[in-house]
Amino acid sequence: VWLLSACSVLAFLYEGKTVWKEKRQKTVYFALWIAGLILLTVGVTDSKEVVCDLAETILKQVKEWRIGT
Amino acid sequence: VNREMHANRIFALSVLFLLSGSIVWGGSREARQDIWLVMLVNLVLFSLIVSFYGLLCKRCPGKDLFVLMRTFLPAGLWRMLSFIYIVYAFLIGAVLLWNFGQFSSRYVLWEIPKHVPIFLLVAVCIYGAKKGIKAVCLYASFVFPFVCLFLAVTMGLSIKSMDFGELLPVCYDPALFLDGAYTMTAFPFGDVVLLFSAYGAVSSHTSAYRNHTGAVVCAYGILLLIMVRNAAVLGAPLLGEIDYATYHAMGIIGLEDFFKRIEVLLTFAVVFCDVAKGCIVLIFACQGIRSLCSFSRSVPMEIPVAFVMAGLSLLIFDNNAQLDRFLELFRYVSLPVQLTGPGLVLAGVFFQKRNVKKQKIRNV
Repeated sequence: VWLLSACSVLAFLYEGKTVWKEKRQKTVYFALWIAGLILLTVGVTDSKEVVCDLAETILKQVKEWRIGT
Repeated sequence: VNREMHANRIFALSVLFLLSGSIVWGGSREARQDIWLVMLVNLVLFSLIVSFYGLLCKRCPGKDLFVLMRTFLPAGLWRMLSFIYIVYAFLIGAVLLWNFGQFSSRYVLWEIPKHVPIFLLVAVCIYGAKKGIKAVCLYASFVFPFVCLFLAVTMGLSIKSMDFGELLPVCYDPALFLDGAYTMTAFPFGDVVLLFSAYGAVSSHTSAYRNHTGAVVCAYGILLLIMVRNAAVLGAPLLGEIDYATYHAMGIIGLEDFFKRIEVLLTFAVVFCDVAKGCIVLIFACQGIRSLCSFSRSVPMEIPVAFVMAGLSLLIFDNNAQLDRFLELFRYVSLPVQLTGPGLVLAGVFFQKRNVKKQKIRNV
């Protein structure tokens, strides 16, 4: 996992450098990178349930906050 | 000479692409001993679909599906269809990686978690996709004879264990037979549309058409032999119950004390085929995202796209039962996806041609 993380970060830095100057392409490109890294981290660490619970808690908090306001 | 060689390489790539997954999985489990009949029905169906794709390759040579959709369809429609095809490619990639990881961790690398083979395959596919379709074609033309040799050797060694009585009775349950026939249109042959990414690189339209049809027929022939062998060796009841039928059928082969694990040949064939398919799926998904987001070719998309595929493969499925359930739904999506995009593009091509003719007549 550590080797994979290190390789991913290096690849991200190396490839991101070429797209950094492009204004229009930057957003979608880095969104894809972040999505890939998040999915990969969740998949490798087998923390699907943890992420689902976290998302549920956040949604509940947002709902309560909206009712409160 | 170069053009012909290039077309031959596309042929090898297409066959490896179609063999990937199915050579170890063994096709539909519902059909059981009627698997050969199911294959023949599918051969007729896919000859029609591939002729239809061939017509498109002939009309618009050297263009991939996304460029064709962008050229001939209205803006909203091509964007929507491109998005659907990108999602489709991601799902196919996820299924491929998960299947490879599961097979490796269960039968080949027992003590290693399935993440490791998945990441190794991802790394090789990223390298292949970065090198481009021509490099993948070169790789395919190099490994294709080895795959054929491995399959021929294992086939020959299985002859002693075959009992063709297992293929009877023919069409014992018509409902299951039809179910199996439909399943086979979705998996393994539901991915044929992704080959457009490779056929877009062929400059000669006649060779594209010939190679596309030839590759499908060749892959069908090989799979037909493998599936008949599986049914004749394992028998119908066992064939309907187990995963990775080909691997189990090969497990029966024993060459005295000299070479007991002949399955290793199948493992090599699976790795070769999966690398070819992984590269094609990755190239297709990258082409789609580049076209949809108007990215230039120089934007390196392969690594993030491969990471999303690998992440999805680890998240969507936990076991083979979940994969089966996914494929149950997937088979209803597969056939419409294969026909909608190319069909609309072909209609657009004819429509444009008619308009040009009308315009010429008006001008005269």
